[in-house]
This record gives sequence, structure tokens and C-alpha cells, in this order.
Amino acid sequence: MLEIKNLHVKLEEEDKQILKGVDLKIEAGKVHAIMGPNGSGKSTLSYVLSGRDGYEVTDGSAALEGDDLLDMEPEERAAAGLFLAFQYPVEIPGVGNMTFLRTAVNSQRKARGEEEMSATDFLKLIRAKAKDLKIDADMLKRPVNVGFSGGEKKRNEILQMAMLEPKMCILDETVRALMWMP
Amino acid sequence: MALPQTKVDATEARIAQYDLPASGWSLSARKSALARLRDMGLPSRRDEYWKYTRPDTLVQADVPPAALFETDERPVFSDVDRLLIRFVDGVFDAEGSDDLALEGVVIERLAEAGTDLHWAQSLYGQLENNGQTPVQRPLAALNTAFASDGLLIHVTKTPSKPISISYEHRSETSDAILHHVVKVDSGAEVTILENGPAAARFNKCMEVDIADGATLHHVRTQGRDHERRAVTHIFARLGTESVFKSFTMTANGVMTRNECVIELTGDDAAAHVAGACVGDGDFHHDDTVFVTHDAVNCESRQVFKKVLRNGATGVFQGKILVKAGAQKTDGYQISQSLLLDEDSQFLAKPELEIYADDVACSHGSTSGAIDEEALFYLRSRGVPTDQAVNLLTLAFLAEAVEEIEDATLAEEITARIEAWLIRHRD
Repeated sequence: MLEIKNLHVKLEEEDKQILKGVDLKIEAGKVHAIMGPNGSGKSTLSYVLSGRDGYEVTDGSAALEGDDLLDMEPEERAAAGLFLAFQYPVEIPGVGNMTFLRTAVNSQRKARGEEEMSATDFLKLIRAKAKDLKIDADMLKRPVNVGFSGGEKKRNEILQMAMLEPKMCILDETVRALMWMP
Repeated sequence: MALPQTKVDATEARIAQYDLPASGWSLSARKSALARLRDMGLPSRRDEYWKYTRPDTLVQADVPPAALFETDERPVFSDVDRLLIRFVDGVFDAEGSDDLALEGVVIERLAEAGTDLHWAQSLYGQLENNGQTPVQRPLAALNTAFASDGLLIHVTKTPSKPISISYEHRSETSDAILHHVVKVDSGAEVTILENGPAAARFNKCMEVDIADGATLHHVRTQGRDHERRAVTHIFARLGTESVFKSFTMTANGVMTRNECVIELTGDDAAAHVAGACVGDGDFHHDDTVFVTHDAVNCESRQVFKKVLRNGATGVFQGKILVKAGAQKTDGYQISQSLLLDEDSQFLAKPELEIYADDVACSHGSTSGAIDEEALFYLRSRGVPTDQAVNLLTLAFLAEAVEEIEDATLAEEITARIEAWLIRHRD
């Protein structure tokens, strides 16, 4: 599924090497956990794989099902089936959650040469998925992540996964910013 | 103080092309407007109020020609059930207009309003005159003196549909001056729509008197002709518990100066002025707003958002004046620009002047680029960059568009802005 070979990454702005030769092979259906102290490059690895600006790959490769990820734009990686669940999901005032999800679903379909989902089908699907995740209708109407609690933000990430059905998910510190209810 | 000779010359050169009408009820108001225009002189770059916007092309005697804009897009508001009134290059177009008949409203043309005593006499040029202090607005006085036509709209009861004034631009050198007077009687509610580029150069003035408990919704779009120029003034007076909501969308236009002067004279009134504009290249857009609170417990909101690219310029001058005694005033003002590149600029001068001690007034002004975090988040979910930028741009404008109360109108405005953004992709 995902194959990372000898990946070297430095920050674009300063001469600081962060990843120094990462090798990782992940088979389909397997769950892997990457652990390490703060600042060891866990988030950097997830950002580099999803295509965020600000990092420079100096050596090595990363491929999703044989396709070179590092050569793609972030939206192309998403359409290829990669999903990054953010440590801190971004708040986007003014963009409705529903509009956002529909745009994302249909952009990915379009990129893969599939037919766009109709408004009715989309509505049906998102209602069903939201119900499974106990996400109320109000959360769908509100702007993306704005005013969401830590837990709501993470649930919203899960809803996005459920709607986009990626092949490979990277969950960056999934339990960060969650309140534990003992 | 005597005016500088250059100013006198510029003013006289412009005035020379116009004649006052021989008679009519508006004549005395026109004569006094002409007198105050001569006292003030037309604006020049040296005037503080015109620091960020060069007035020369709005002032000069010759009209800078403006090419006609060819488009197959339907005019905005085409699908709205409305009373349509059309002007072509500032000339009333009877064939293109509906009959000026709408229950609850009396609509007449300024050019035909005759010599008899008229209700509009107590407003025509009067609100404009009130709005000349503390800041001079000579182009509005020019308008009052020499307006060739306009509408006198008296709303006695809430009509069943909006009044829609559509301005077409067909001549590359047209120079139009229109002056509307709107009076909304107590308890009535009306919507006035305006759209279109109007002329190569357009000077429009609208005086609005909103009686106690009355409501006026005003939604306008200023036409897309790239080379057109416009200076517009709204002078609004609000009575007790009255509401005035005005929204303007501007896409393109090489020169636009929209001034809005509002006086809250009755308690518990609310005035909202909002604007969303999108501009590219030579686009220059100036919103100049002056809100005076002269009564208790009134609310005012100014929400102006500008999207600028390829060297476009946006200007905002907004003032809230709270007079002594205007307690419990709630004043809000925000002006923001989204600069899509480093060549564009936004110039803002927010002002508060407060003489009452129990008020809440806030103002904010920002300029910024697209939020990179949000952009990456959208892209990581598969949304292509240009589409993501458009989504974020519409989100940026949303606070202004949301000032339109009618959801259908707001949707149409949003769709128009989106179409503009798609057309102007690199």
C-alpha cells in the first residue's frame, strides 16, 4: 500500500534536516503506529506525505500503490486515496461543512474520472454517515470546524474519512485535544 | 477662504455644459445646490477627503470614453418578480420599463414632475444639503443642480414586489446624472434594487427619508464594464424604529466612489451598510461612509469587504459620529481586504467620534492574503487549488453578503461573485 524508502526531509526555509532516512512499508489492512518524542518528525512525515509546503525532500521516495506521491499536488494525493487527519483540524469561517464535503467528494470523483454525486445522493449519504457517528445536523450546517470542541473536530475528521473513503489514512495524534471522560 | 483659481476654473468648465431647467418645483433647490457647489468647488486631489481616490476623471468636463462590455450573462435580478424601470445612458427607457404603477407606491419621474407643489420638494436637495457638513460632497451638489432625471418614489404601504431600477450603458461617451428621492411612510416596507453600469460616467444621488417604523432594503450591483466610472451618493434619514439596509456589489469598473451618508434621527433605528467588491487590474473602488447617531439606542453596522488582484486598489473611509445624547448607541464597523497578490492595495481610514458616554462602538480594518493553513486543509481533502481559493474568497465576502436579508437575492449575488471568480482565474 504505502512504501517509503530512505526519505530525507529538511525545512525549506532553514537548513535543518528533520527526517534522515525513513524506511517504512505498510501493507493493506494493517495498522501501524509511529511513536517518538516531541520534535522527532512524526508530524513532518505526515505533512510531507500529504504535500504541505515548507518541506524539501532531499533524498528518497514515497509511493502509494506504486504511484510516486512526492510528484503529486496535495489534491492529487487525496484523489489517489491518501487522507491526513490533522492533529489540529483547521477552522474555516464562512465555508459550510456541507459545502466543503460536497466539493471535496466531487473534486476527488472528477479527478478520478468518475461521475459527480448528485445533491440528493450526497445528502442521503452524509445523513446516514453522520447518524452512524452521532453527528447532529447542526454540525453539518456550521462553518468547517468553527466553534467545534476538540472532540467534535476529530469526529468531523472521521466523517470526512467516511465520506471520502480513502485507501490510506494517516492519523496525526488522534487523541490530541480530546477530553477524557473517566 | 477663497477657492484656488484652478478649482474655480475646473468647476466652471464642468458647470458650463449644463443648464438649469427654466421652471419647476425643484428649481430653487437646484439654484441653491449650484450656489453651494460654487462655494465648495469640485474636488481635487489636494482635498483630504479625496486623498486616496483621484477625482479628476469624475470632475473633468470631458467624459473619458468607456468601451461597452459584451457579455451573454443575463442581467442580475432578471428572475426576480419586480417592477422594472430602465434607464439607458441616463435616459428613461419607457419601452423597456414596466408601467410605473404598483399598489402602495407612487412613482414619478423627476423630469416630468411639473411645476406644482410636490411632496419631494421638502427632500430634494435637502438631505444632500444636510450631508454637506461636516464634510463637503461637491459632486452631490453638482448632481442636485443638474440631474436630468430620476425617480420620485413615495411608498405609502408595503408593495407586493421590489422596485428594480436597471441602468444600461450603450454609448461609449455617455455622461449621466440621475437623482432619486425615496420616501417611505410609517410602517411600510419596500425593497429597491439597482443594477447596471449606467453610462461611461455616472453621477447618481439618492435621497432617502424613512419614517417611523418604516423599512427600506436596498440591494444594488454596479455593472461590469471595465472602463466605466461612477460616483454615487446615498443620503438617508431614519426615523424612530426605522430600518435601512443597503448592500452593494461591485465587480469591475475603473473608478467607483460610493458615498453613503446616514443620519439616525429617531430612537431605536437601525442602519446597515454593506459592500462586497471584486476587482482586477485598473479597478479602483472607494467606499466612503458617514453615519451620524443623533438619537438613543440606535444600531449601525458598516461591513465592507474587498477582493483585489493584479494591482487593483480598494479604499474605505468610514466614520461613526455619536452626538452628545445619543446614548446606548451600538456602532460596528469593519473593513477588510483580501489581497490575492502583492501588487494590489487597500487603503483604509476608519474613524470614530463619540460625544456620548454610554455607547458601544467597535471598528476593525485588516488586509490579508488567502489563509495558507485553510488552503492546505481544503487541498488535502482533494479540492483543487483554484476552487479552494474561490471557496475561501466567497467565505471572506460572506459577512457582507449576509447583510442582504432576502435569501434568494443573497444567493444570486453569491452566484454572480462566484462566476466572476471563475472567469478571472489565471
